[in-house]
Amino acid sequence: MDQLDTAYLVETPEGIDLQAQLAGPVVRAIAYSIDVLIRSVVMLVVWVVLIFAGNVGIGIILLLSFLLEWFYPVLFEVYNNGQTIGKKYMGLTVVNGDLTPINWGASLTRNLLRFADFLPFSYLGGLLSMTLTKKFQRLGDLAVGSLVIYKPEVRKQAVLPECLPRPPSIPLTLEDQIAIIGFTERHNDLSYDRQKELAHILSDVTELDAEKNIQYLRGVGSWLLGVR
Amino acid sequence: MDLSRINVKPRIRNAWESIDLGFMMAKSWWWVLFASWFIPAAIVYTILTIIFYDDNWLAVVITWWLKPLFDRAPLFIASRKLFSEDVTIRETLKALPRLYKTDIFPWLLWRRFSLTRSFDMPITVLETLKGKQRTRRMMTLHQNTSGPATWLTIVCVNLEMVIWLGVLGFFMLLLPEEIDINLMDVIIDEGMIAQLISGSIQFFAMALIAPFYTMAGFALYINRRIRLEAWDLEIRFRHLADTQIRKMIASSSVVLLLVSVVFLVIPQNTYAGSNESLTPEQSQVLIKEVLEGDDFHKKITEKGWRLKNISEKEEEELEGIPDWLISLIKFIESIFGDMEFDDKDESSNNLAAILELLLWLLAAVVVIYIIYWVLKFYGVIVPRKKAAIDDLAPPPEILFGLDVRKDSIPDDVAGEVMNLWSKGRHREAVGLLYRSTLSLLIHHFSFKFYDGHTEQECAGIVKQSGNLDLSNYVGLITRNWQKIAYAHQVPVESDIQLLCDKWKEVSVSEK
Repeated sequence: MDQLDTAYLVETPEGIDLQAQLAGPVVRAIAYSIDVLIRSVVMLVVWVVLIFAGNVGIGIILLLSFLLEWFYPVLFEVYNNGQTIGKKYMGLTVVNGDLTPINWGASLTRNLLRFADFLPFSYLGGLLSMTLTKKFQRLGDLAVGSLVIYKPEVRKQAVLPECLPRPPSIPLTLEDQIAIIGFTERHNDLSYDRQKELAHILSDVTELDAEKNIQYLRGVGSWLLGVR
Repeated sequence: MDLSRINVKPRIRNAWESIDLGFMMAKSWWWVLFASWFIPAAIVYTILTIIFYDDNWLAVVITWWLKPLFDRAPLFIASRKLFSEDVTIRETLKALPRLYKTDIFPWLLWRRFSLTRSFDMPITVLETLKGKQRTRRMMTLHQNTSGPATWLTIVCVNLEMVIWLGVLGFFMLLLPEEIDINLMDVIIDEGMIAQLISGSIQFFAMALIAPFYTMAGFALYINRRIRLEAWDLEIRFRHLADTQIRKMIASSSVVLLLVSVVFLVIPQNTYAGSNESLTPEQSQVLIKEVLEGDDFHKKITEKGWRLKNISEKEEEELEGIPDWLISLIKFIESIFGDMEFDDKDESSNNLAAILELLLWLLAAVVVIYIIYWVLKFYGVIVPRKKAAIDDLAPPPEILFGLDVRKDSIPDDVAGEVMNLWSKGRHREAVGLLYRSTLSLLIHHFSFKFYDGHTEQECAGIVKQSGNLDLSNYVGLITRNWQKIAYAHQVPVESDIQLLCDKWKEVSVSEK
């Protein structure tokens, strides 16, 4: 069954599957707004400082606003792991289609093509393109094959419940192992009643009653995580 | 609710990811969702337009106000589609009165301006909770999701505006210049036609955004439930239990089968009981079947723009085209042949490659120019005319911090040195002698020393010249100078005496 998901898979030549979560229009629009806000504040400060410098000041203002508009995203993307400040705040990052870090050429092109995304009004083109393409790409992204993905969060080690680690009594598939580990790690997030229900599903396999089954499954989960 | 039939990947997402998932849901179920929102809303909007034919903005505002009702039909469909149940438009329209009835007044009055509308709506429509129960349920669901839900609403409001102004602006762009209309005039125009056009575009913008907005809210809601109720775990556990039970049944039936076989046909082939052992012929058939299956016959269609291969063309066709043009095209082709495209089915990649190439060329030119300019500035690259003058470059005035100009050297060097030595100012004495030697080497013997040379290198240059007496002399004074300058060891007096005695002889000797 083909389930809907925003995951994007890449297989490396070594046969390793890399997975990334694609970022859609809403979160990107917010990240963009943050960047616009930052740029506006910077320009406002520059404007206040330089407006008294006469024509030279205006010239510098124009030059700076040009550079800021076109190179702020490029420089941040190339030198800051594909993240402008807005993207960093929203946990996004720009990568090439094969999930390698974005390079100069790609970043420059995708950002120069913002003018195409802007048409006909306020990034309507880009929003349409982002919504309609499979990988949430705006026109600039399509041109160079770049993607905007969620930067994987560094997962904190969950606090494991106190229990006796036990090896599983039957061979488990990878997905089953992950599920049992999840059951163990989420012992604080799930209500106890719900945990009983979940454990009850497996009582035919373990031949234990629900309460003991919770302890048993937690034990297996800890064992799978390497607790001995 | 049969979780095993769930249509989205059940995993824990952060709130933003679930909004994206909602957009995907809206896309893949687009037409039903859109129709279920559009049909009732369009009927209402049309009637209102007829009633308020002079003030279309009223029709727009009232339709907009009724959005909490219209949003319920897509939600109803999605709740079925999520578990792979098919719902037709007809069924949905029939269910509308029931759907609209729940909590109609709160949603149209004080909850109309709730910023988390699409996220809260499932509690009303799908769980049909009211009053205190609803409040408690909302508190549970809202933790760390109300922020993104609010932002979702704000972004969608803006998207509607962008579509409205964008479509209007787009038509403006298409008008010939002779027709002088300002965008702002159309927006604030009070004329009936202008209002109708502008209002209808606004209505379509609402209809386009609504499925995305409701689905994103629904996905946020589903995500909360997946997290709180661990749907992902339930699905896996059920699967595990199922397979285990099936295995148990299977193994017990194998035992049964074996037992019966043993009883019935003891002397015969005991392989018959287990289906795992096949004869070679059977295996052959099975292998053939697998090889003919879909797994080994994948067909992939690739479409895209490629440069044509000129060399494959008939030679006659190329007559009349200059050779250089052909080789240029071949050259370009060879460049593109080497390029790897990330995504072969995007025709825009060729344009991108050309653009990239141009940008790289520009960058290369700029870089080369900068390198040239810098090298020229530091005199590493020098025009040929200047190269000849280089031999005439003035000799250095200071070497390792020592003044080696000719006129800084006293006339009677030997006398001065011995004078300083006898006063115990050994360092100054040796320094003066060494300085004088260097000056002598530069001005009298015309050796070429540069700022970068060390004492040892200077001595080496002298040695290379082949003048044995001179190089011995320079070697000795250099060693003594290094001793006192760097090691603070006072040289033996006899050495200095010898050097001073020889000074006269050396300073007037032939080059």
